[in-house]
Amino acid sequence: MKKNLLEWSVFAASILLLLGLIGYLAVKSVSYKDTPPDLRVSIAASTDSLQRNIYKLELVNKGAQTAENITIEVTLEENGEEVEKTEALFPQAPTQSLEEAWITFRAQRVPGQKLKVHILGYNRP
Amino acid sequence: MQQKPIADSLQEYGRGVIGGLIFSLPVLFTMEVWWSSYRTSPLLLLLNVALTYALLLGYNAYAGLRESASWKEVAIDSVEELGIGLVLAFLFLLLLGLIDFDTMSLERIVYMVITEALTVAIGVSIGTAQLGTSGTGEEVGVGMQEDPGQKVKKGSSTLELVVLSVCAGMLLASNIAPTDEVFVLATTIKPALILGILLVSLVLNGTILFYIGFRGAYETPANQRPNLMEVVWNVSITYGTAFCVSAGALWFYGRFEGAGLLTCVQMTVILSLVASLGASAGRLLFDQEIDQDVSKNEKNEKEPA
Repeated sequence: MKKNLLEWSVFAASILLLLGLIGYLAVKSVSYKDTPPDLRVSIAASTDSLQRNIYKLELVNKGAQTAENITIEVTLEENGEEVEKTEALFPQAPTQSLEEAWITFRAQRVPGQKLKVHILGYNRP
Repeated sequence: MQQKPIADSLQEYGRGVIGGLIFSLPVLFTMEVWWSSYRTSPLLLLLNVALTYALLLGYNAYAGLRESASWKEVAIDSVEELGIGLVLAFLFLLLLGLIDFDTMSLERIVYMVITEALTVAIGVSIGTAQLGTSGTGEEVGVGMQEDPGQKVKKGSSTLELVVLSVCAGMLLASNIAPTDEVFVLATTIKPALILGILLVSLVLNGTILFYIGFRGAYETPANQRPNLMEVVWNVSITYGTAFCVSAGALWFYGRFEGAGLLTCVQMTVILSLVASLGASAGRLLFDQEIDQDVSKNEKNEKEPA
């Protein structure tokens, strides 16, 4: 039995989708390099209704391999002296994707505070 | 040639969508599958798209809704099923909150959708062919050009046996292959039990194919009991297919990475227990269409007009 307009439309959409995906994957295959995880962290002050000393961590993995169990240490400094340390854990950091976490300090937020961020470690899945 | 009513097409697509969901929802709900999409490479995904398309071609050629369809029609149907599988996987991942445009790169979304969609597409294909009523003569019988003899021959070919075993085995294996449990079992189990699993798999295969009277199970032309060679031949092909499907599924989901040869073999044997059930029992269930037609033809031969 001859295909109707609906069936031809579904076929046309499917073939376009498939060709698009195949083209995308082919381009990605050519440029693909199996590079190890390359983690970049950015930190920004955040707020909540209780006015706690909260910061938002954003983790991006620029490498091709996924990192797992990433532990990040953040040190709060005041006038060049360490006041407090805290850690954030990220279960996964897939390539080219953004993961978010929030950390809190007991110390109140005051002007002049500085933060130091250090990636303690991670493993490959 | 008469054009198919749109209502019939919608019904057929509906069956495909429901089939895709029934057979692949466990995969869509498994976090190890989401994670495996993070580790995959574009080349591996391309290869899997190609293999899935080949499987769909095989399934549609041997057990599809329009078994008499030409290769062109089979190719078109397979493209549609792959397309529906991709869209369905995307929509359900979106619905489950697993796709987040704010935090996920396009690459990660595409890889996750493709990883999930391949199983969904096989489900769509099987749903389209198996979930409908076979009463609409148009769907089953329109355009049949082969004579009954040809169909019986086609229905019993080794290639068909392998293709349907791969489809059914993959459908079951893909639900379990990505999970951590296969690795945990393989690394903690005693070797004697691995041998036991292998033997039980073979016995189950043989029993399903020859002895418990599953619909569509093997029958010799004269309804005689199969000889030993026939049993060994069919069980070997079925189990061998299930073993390869299991190894392929484990490899695709990255379960072999970092594992030693013994662990890889043990994981494959454990998963083959599941895959071989699909390859034997599942295959027979998916192959009802041909079997029904064969029985119809046999009946026609017995009853002179």
